[in-house]
Amino acid sequence: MVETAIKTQAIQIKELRKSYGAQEILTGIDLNINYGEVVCVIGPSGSGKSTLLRCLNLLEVPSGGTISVDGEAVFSQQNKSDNKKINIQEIRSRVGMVFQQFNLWPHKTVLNNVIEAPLLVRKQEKAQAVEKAEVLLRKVGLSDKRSSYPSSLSGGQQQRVAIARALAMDPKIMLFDEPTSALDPELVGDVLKVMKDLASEGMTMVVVTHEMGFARDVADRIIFMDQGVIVEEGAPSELFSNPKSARLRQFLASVLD
Amino acid sequence: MIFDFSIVPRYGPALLEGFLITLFICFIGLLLGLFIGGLICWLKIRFPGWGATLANTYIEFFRNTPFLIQVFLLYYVGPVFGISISAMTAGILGLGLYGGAYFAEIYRSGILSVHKGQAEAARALGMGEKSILYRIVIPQMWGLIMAPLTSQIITLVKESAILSVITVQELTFVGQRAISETYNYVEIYTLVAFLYWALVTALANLLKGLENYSTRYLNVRERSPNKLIFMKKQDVKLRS
Repeated sequence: MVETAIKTQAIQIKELRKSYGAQEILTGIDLNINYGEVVCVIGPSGSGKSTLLRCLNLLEVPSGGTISVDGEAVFSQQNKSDNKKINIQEIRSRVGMVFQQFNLWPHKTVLNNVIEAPLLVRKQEKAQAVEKAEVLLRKVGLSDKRSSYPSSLSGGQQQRVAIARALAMDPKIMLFDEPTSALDPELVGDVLKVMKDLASEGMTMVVVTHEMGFARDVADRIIFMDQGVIVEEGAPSELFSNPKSARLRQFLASVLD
Repeated sequence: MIFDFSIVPRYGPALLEGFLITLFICFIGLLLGLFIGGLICWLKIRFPGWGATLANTYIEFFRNTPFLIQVFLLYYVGPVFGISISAMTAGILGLGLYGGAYFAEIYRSGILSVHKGQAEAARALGMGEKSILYRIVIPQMWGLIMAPLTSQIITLVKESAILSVITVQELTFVGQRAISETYNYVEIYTLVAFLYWALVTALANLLKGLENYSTRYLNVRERSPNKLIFMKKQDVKLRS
């Protein structure tokens, strides 16, 4: 029964814990995300949102609990020996991630940033990878920048290249870690538009964000985290208009005015 | 004082030959040093336990003892154990071993200075640690280390003069022999100094070109870090 549940859901998290030494960042997270669902994770800084996201592709190794992504176990506390058998590179290649600081490789051109992983990890033919990259760059509105180095692009353009780079691996799931937090306000819109398009195409997305407007318009579900736990979750209409917990009310009051 | 540069035609060819030998030992010694440095750095990063201990011992020995003594040891200790090497081989080996200790630490500082988000982005795409090192981190390392690497390379070239003490027939040795025959200290040392200056200046320009090449992908502001001190605080912050 557990097996079938795993296969129908993009992400399954049970009792996830993460601590650095004595400091507990995540203190037991249970969360299931369906294919095609867009989930926005909101909460004050230090609440564990980014850590949760980074545990999903093992950029952070959890301290306890279990995680399955796209039907495969990523981490399991019960069977520690199984963790060694997990092919984390293979799983990561199916989960795209976009970072707050873009993390484009400055020594590679825009095109080479996008085709690097398809060539190296997927062993694609160069012509095929380039063709795909061109389609993606058109999609994010940056066809004319294919030969530029990242340093000559604005933050918003860099972030859109980063999205194209993640999409080049044909991920089943996309993780966004505060994708617009490092951008000048006037550049935020272009990045959010690309993300909206992606959501409307049915991509499974987990977005850690402070953009409440985006969360309200695009998310199927909002997760509110505080101090390492999920305090409240629900559809945006319900959550924003009728917050149940005092902590969420307080948080919304501080970010919405 | 009257300078007698008539010695130039007489000792010029010998000095030139010494110059070429300096060029040769520096070139091979430098390549050896860059290679040994890479090896030591790899050992230190790849095997944090025993590898790092071994690498640190090596680095400590070659950084914390005078080059002159290292050269003597290399040249005179060998024969005690029945291994005798020519002065030239000892000299090249000496430069390589000594330079390697410094280059290892320069490489390591460069590797550690590459922003960790760079490797993370690659990891998130499913790239392996080896590809990350060779395709993401090391190419960026060069841009970060060219300045300290350049000054260390220049130091190494000038240290090659010390090899005259074990009779390597390089520029300084040839100059000293000429002086012992003519006592024209000023003229010959001036000439020797000029030849070193020419060699190092040419080398420095070449390395400057390499530095520009290895940072070609950065924009003008990022390429001139020394300009940062003239920038406003909030400008610097934006670039983080």
